[in-house]
Amino acid sequence: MATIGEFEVLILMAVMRLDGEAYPPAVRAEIEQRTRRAVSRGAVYITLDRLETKGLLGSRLADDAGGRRQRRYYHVSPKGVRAIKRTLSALEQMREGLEPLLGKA
Amino acid sequence: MTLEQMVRALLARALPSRLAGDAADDLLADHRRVRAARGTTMAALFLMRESLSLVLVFVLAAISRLARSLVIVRRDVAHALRAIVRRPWSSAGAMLMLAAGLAAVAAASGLASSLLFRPINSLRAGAVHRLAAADQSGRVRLAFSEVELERVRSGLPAAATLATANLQPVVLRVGETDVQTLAEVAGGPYFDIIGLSTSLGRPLVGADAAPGAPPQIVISERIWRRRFARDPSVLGSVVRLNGRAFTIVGVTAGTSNASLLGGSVDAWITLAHADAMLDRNWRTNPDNRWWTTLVQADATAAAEMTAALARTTADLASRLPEPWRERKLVTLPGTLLAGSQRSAAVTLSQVLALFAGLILVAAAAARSWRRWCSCQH
Repeated sequence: MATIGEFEVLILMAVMRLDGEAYPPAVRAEIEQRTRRAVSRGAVYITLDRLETKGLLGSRLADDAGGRRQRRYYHVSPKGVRAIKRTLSALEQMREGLEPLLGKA
Repeated sequence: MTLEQMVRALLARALPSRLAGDAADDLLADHRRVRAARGTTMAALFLMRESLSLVLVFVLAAISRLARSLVIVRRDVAHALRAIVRRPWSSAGAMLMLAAGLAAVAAASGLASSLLFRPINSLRAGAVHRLAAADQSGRVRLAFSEVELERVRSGLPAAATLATANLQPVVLRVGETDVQTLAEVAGGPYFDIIGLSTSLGRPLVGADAAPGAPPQIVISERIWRRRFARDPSVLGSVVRLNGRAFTIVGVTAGTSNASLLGGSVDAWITLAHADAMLDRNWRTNPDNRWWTTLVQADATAAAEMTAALARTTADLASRLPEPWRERKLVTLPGTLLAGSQRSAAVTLSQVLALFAGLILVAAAAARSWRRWCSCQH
């Protein structure tokens, strides 16, 4: 069973959100836009590489939108989806009963 | 080297190959945007900072992986030391078995390489090569016809020498006894190139192959021992090879040697009398590929040799277009095993190595399983 960290979950979710258009700069922009935090280029690339090695992501080479060059596009594998669900479920269970301290958000 | 090339080279070294191209493209695209917005100097600083941080992330990750593997090694060494202290006799037994296994593997691989990949001439291992015709898929043909060899000989550089041989089953008649054995027709300085010397008399030389030369033969030490009872006056005696009379001029030293693995040769004759063993059209029919061919050229002549083979390939393609349309002349290592035999031996070695590896993996898995079970209790 693959264990994943917070940043890995963010990457997996960004890839899911981009739905077939997930190449590294787009993943980075998606995370920066949604989380409003700066993400380093290196962190994105190395995490994509690690998640692909773990089998949580798959990738394919395809022409970009303008057809000028080939890019590597990522997608979340079924194993990756299960890993996200497991991590979110664990977080939910840990959050139960802490609402008075954490509030609704 | 431009800035772009430098960045691409740097990332290609530090990042996995499947990421390096994309990362460089994205970084350089951002660099162009920064240059348009903030000028060349700021863009150069941006590029330097971003590329170094990208490289640093991957280098640190590699160091971290190495450190983790060292921790595992340290843990295993500590476990082994504890086991030695607690159970010295069983540990000694396990170490002895492991040492025996390693020694067996080392001995087997040493034996395989010395037998299967033994050079034809160990004294000139790097200088003697096999000549082959390779097709586009890399399959090689080791046999050449005399018509093809005439072109090869005429195209060879001066620093290279060429010898040919054809191994055939023959009937050798010694006195009143017929011996079914193997003989070779040898062309060029064959004895010299394969390092075959004589203990009595002389090897076959160029003059023996000249048109009209008397039929001369060199016999093996084994035939001399078994059929002539080591008679030192054997030179000058006449034997019959496939019914033709040949005069013995030499006896090889030690065990007979051939240029192919498993070839136990008992007699050698020259090209001048090859009709005794070969089809009569061997000189003129380009499809009669009787000859395995050896080339001797030291490393200093390698470039010259490559160019000469390319020229000869073109020459052969123009003269004999059908068999040479998509083939080229190549040199292969001068080992006893060659061509498909060598490929088969390599495959067999790989299968054996894989088998040994699987046994080691299974042993390691069994050990881990036992450790895990003992932890559960």
